[in-house]
Amino acid sequence: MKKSDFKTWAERQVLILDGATGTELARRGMPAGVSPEAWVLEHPEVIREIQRAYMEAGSDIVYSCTFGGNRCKLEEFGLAWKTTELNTALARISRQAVGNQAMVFGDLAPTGLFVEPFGQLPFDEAVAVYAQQAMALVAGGVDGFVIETMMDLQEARAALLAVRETCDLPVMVSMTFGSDGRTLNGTDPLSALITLQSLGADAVGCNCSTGPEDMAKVIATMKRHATVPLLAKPNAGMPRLKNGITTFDMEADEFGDHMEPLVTAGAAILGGCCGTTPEYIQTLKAQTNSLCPTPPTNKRQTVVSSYKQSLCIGKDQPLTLFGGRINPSGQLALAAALRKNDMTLVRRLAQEQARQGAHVIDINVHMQGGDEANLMRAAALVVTKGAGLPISIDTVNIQAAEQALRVLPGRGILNSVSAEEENMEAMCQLAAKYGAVIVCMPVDGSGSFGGSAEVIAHIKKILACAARYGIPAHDCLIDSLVFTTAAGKEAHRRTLEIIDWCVRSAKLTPLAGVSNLSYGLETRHWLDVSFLCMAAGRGLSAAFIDTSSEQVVNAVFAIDALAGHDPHMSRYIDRFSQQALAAAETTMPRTAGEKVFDAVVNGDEEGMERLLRQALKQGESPNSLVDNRLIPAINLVGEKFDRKEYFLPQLITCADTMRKGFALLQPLLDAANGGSGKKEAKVILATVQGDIHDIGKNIVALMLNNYNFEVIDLGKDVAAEDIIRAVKHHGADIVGLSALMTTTMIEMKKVIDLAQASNLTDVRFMVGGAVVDQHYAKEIGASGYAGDAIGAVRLAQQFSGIESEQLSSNPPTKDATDDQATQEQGRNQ
Amino acid sequence: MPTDLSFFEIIPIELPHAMILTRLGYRSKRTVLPPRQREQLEATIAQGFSLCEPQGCWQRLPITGWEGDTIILSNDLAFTSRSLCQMLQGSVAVALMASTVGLTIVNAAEEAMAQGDGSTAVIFDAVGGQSANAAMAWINEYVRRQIRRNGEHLTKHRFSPGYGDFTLENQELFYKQLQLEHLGLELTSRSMLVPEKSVTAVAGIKQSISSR
Repeated sequence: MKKSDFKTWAERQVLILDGATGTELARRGMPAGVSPEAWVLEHPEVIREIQRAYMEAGSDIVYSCTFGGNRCKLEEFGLAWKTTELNTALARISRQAVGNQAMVFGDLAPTGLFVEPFGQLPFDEAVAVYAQQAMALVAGGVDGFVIETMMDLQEARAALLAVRETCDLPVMVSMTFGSDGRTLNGTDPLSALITLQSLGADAVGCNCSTGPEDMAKVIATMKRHATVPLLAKPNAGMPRLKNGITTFDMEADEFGDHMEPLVTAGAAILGGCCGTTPEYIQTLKAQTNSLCPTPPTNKRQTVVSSYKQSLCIGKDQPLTLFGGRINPSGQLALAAALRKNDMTLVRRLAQEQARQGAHVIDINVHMQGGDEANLMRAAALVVTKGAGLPISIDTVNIQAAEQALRVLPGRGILNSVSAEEENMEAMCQLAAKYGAVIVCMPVDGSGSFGGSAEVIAHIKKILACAARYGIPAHDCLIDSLVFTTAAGKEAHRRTLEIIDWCVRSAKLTPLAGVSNLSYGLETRHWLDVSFLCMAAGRGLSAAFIDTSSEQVVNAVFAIDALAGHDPHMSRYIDRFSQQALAAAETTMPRTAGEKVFDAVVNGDEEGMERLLRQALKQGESPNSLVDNRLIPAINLVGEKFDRKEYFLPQLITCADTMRKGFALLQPLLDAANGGSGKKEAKVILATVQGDIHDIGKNIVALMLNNYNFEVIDLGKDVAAEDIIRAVKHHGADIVGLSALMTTTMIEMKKVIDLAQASNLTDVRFMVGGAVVDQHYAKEIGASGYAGDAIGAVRLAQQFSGIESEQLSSNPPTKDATDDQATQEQGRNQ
Repeated sequence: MPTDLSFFEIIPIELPHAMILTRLGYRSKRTVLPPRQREQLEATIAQGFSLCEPQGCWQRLPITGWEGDTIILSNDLAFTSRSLCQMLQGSVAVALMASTVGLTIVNAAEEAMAQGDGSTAVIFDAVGGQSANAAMAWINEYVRRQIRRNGEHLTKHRFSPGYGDFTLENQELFYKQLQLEHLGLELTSRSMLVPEKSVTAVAGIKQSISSR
């Protein structure tokens, strides 16, 4: 079957697929635990009967019984060596079953392995696995292909490329989405559609997992941007497991009632998955006989995607921000890392830019002596894993571009295609093969850029070339050529004229490398912001900016709000309301002393020194600042923590702030009181032998330090003998022991027993940790149990005879970390 | 039925935000978090999550026999635990699973603590722990979907070494069988996994009977 015939067929009528095969085979005697492909080959009459039944029920297309026919799945039964033979034979059996009355589509399904970057199966090996199966099915006479039940977009891409590189038959791709509307790998319907239709799928859709109701939502989401027919093959409702029996909650009639809404939502190809039978297909056929599918969209919109999000670029959209910091030019550290094939910095830069607001991550790894093709491939995979945003492949190297576009689990951007003949042809061909959007760089390699007219001529030349490869103009972003300020006003004017021409005359989508403008300057953001506003006013759609500049990113939010690309200004309000609230917090009228109190309560560590100096300058004494500000403040923090108004990070930050204030005042207090800054008592802390968990113990150390105890932290996995040796050496008053596991808590008793044997009878032991409680503390002879860091401080104060004036006297409560850990005791956390 | 060991190089989990806050002691109706602190918290959580590298693996092993409280698996593997045997009742095979978020987040938490930044350390600790749990949940769901096509389902619960009478020493069996050194994990003499933000678990695989 020709692709064009398939397209016409699916536009003219609702195409009917078959229903479930596995459950029908089981009903007809296929035992559990066998390879369905091998069993069917031994019992061909069974699949013939099933497929004839589907055909008679109304199926226009039946799937070959090759769901598990790839060599990875067959290997699970020791049958990989029969892959070609099995697939060819099974395709022939289906052909015999339906003759010329229905089409047979070769069924390709998951390998059961994960493809890079998500798994260990190299992408091209996955392509080879499916290519072998596709070739065998072509030899068996299939009319087209279906790639189905895919939960990994990358595996679906591998199968699709395999079919495309094998034959010219039509191919449908069907993903499986959960009730949350995403595949297990986090791919949403729109990202799947954009990726697969741009890569050459002739139909895209979904099957399995959910019933028809949820599937209608998936189809409706895809429909807005679908340029190909959409496919839906739902289960007979939701599978439910009761007492080991799988049931589906929808009978044939009810299933049939859901078919019209699916067509209304945009489906043109319908069938049934798990739990459906020929009866369901018959009902489906009857319900859709008179319906006509809605034609695919002819909307001209640029949409790119990653494996988990899609992005529209264009005049009615928010300004698209490209992050261009993955570029070794001028970045010595990045260049050095790339030379060592170290992708850590690439990953970090991608994540930083994503956090700062970039929508697309541009990757440029060109440098003298570097293996650009391999570096580009590795960087594309790392950025995919690290940031999950659409990617722009920034290179003029054909091999590098192909390596990256081939493995990119999404629809990428090829940056850039120049007007230089050789590069232009090769790049357009490549972009067409992988369905990439291109950035047109209107230069011809002569070294001169000319005026607007010359640039526009170059743009037209590139667009004509792209069109020859089937790339429409709306999938071409136009680089409006931004140069540094040194290039002079003529260059900037030309950029703005090109943007004007793109938007007003040619209906094209302009892009500008705004951050080029201030390259090399000390203060960049004013120039960038100003030029961005000028360009946006003329209709700029996308810009390379320095996402680390808050001023530039803030301006983008404002531009989108003013241009009407931020409905109800909700993104603007969301971004700036937080900043306004934060500013309001600091504008309450308070004395400097009161602000010291506030600083502790609010955990304002950075502001503490300044506020203390102000308070001292205003005449408040060091003793007053400690007694009337710091201590009451930390008491309040302790109370808030007890009441759960504060949680652990706040408690720690506030305590740190107090410690900082106390440390600053200490010399003044010593001078005023003639003191020597004596500590309260010596506390030895350790996580016991065999235990490597020390976060809880570390928090206790931090809090005790803050309360002026002298802490000697022995670390984790500490032997009882070493703890006792340290107690003697330091003359410690208190020992704190921590354990997270039931297997290691017994070490606590060893330590206490050894202390008694060593006549250390004055030393007080406090214990804590996820699996420890008051009862256990008593059982092993510990002096006390602390459920959290505040509790540990209270115990230490009690042991050293300090009146608990610095803390509220509420009983210690278990801290949050320990609560969770208790539930998970035994697991390594 | 497949018994191959499958590795996941990167597990695409979403940030388990709510679980992280709960672990840190945040109570949505009680805890008061001013905007600036919230902004800082969110930034630290995001930074911590970017340091997590969720990976994992799983393997299916047929159950070959039962002896009292001991369950015998292929490859001469055996687990002794009454509560595990009860959970696995009716299962034909088990799924052994492991997840980790790697060393980077653990090192970052330790580094933060060493620098005296305890707040960042506890947030990183919570992000690492909950992300490892989320990765395990992802593997569990992946296995569930994989076996559904074979007419099988997973037990509702899964067990980890250290639960009840399923002792921590069983960690060693997981370590060897799942070749956890390929995930960069080590096992201490006290049966603890390093890096510590790692989880192992076993679930039962049962045959479903389809009503249709």
